[in-house]
Amino acid sequence: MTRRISTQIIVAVGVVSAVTIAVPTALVVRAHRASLLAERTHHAHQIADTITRSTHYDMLENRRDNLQRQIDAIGRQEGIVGVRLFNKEGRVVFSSDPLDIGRTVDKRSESCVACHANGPPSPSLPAAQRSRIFTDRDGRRVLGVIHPIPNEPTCATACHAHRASDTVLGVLDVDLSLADIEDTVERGQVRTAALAVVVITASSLVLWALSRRLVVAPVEALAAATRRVASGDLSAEVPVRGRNELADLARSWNDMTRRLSEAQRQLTHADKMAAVGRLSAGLAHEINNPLTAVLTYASFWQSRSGDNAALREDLDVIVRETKRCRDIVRGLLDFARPSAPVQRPVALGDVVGRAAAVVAHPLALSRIELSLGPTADLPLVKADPNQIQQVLVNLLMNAADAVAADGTGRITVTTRSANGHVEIDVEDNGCGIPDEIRAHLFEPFFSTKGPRGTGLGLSISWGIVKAHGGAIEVSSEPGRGSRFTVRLPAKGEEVT
Amino acid sequence: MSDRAFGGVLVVEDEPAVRESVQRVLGAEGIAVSFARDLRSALRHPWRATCRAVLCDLKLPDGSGLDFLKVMHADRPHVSVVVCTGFATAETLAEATAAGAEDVLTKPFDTAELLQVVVRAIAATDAATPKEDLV
Repeated sequence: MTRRISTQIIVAVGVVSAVTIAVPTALVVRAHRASLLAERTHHAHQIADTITRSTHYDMLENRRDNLQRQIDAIGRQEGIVGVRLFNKEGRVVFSSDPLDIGRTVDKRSESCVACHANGPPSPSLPAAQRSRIFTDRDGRRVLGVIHPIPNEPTCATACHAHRASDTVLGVLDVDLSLADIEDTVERGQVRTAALAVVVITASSLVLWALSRRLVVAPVEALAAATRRVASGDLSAEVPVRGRNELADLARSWNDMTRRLSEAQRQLTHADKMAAVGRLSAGLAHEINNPLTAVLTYASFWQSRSGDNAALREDLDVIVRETKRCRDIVRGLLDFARPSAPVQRPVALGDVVGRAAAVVAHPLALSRIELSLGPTADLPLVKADPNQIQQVLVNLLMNAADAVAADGTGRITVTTRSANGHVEIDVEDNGCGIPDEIRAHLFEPFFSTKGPRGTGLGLSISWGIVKAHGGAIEVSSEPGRGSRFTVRLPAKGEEVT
Repeated sequence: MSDRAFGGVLVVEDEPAVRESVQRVLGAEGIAVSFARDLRSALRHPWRATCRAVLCDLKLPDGSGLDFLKVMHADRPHVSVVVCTGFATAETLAEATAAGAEDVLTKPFDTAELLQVVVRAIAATDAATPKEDLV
């Protein structure tokens, strides 16, 4: 498939160059040939004229031997095929070819037809019509000119008097070889054709290389990437070379697959969340009743264990762990069926302040510095303030777990308004999140905190923000810290 | 205290283990308990006319605890009904409160929570009961 583009271009360009070279060349060759022929015809007429003039006296004197000698001498010259003199009846009277003398020429033969074609001959045929080109018995191209010998008063009074009423007494026929002209023209044609072949081949090669580099290679790269995407690999990138249209196409293509891959990732995540949610809800409902019985009995006997310290300690463990199960199940249900947000116009600055107040004490215990950026000039957000506060507390506690508790830990909360959204950044200078963990951050039960966490905090936060029509994004540099960005749609009213 | 001795708590609950544990906790405190395991038997239960409080699970095999709550509220508006649920969303709470529930008890609960809610419900019933109804 890909070869075809360059082949098509080369064939098209080859045909176009062949035509552009061939047509003018043919015209030039034709003009050259015509001018050579015109010159040769002129030369032939000159010879004929010279013969008539130089033999004029011999004719008047009727010195036939002299005349024949002159015709022989001229006929032997290089380039002259033959010289003949016909009388009015068409009989060859003198000729450079002795075998020709005495033969009668048919008036319809090629040397005569110009004058004798239509009835009686015209006495004043123009010079152009008195020449003809033919192929002789030996296959040579020959130019023949005829030169009528007009009657003159001296002729009628000469010794072998012609009739005074005759207009033409005979015809001189001079045949010149065209072999050299044909050779010249043919050599020119061969040279031009060879040059054309070289030029077309060279330009085709250059074009082939150019089209491979500029068109075929980028298109092949695109096609290969398309095949990879078709087989499900959305990470396929097309190398972008140069700044032409194909490079633009490659850039758009890369952009498209990146967006597609992101959309697919989000869809997959949402699907996974929904499936886990359904499973969790069913599981939680089934587990609640047995948990109720366990917790009730355990706490009942806990308060009645009296002096039996060992029994009391064991019951303490049962009660504590059952309550942990209860928290996990509640978290699951919160995740599976988050309460519909009770939305009202909210100043996010207040929500950030309240969330910061909730975590202030545990942060102070771990000597973590919390700084809040300015929140004035933020547009109002239509949101459930309690749920957004829950999200922020969640992010702040996660950040607190990520930073060191030696007094260097820092958490920064900044807010800003961007493109119809309000964004809240929760940034820490903690351990950061490796890529392999980042991919699973929002999945339920994914936790790096061991028994201290349920693995539901971020998935619940994700559900809450999604129910608000927003998004949570993470960027992180392992060893340097992480930034969680909560983006909520603004409602277009400024806080005053 | 004679009024307190009269009437117990009607518990509508389909899960046997929960029924038994509630019986154990309330019985130990001297609170009389009787059970109905579904909506139909709850509606026909003789204690419906005499109990001083109701603890009713929201999810019953043949209907919603809210239906029983509504019937009780219509018949004996002064009797406290505590709704018991495995999953209390804001909507559930709002609906139960609107239907006249005294309180909502979220499963799983421990002894202290159960006793606290039930004792408070009985006290509320007693406070709301007209004096002439008391024997």
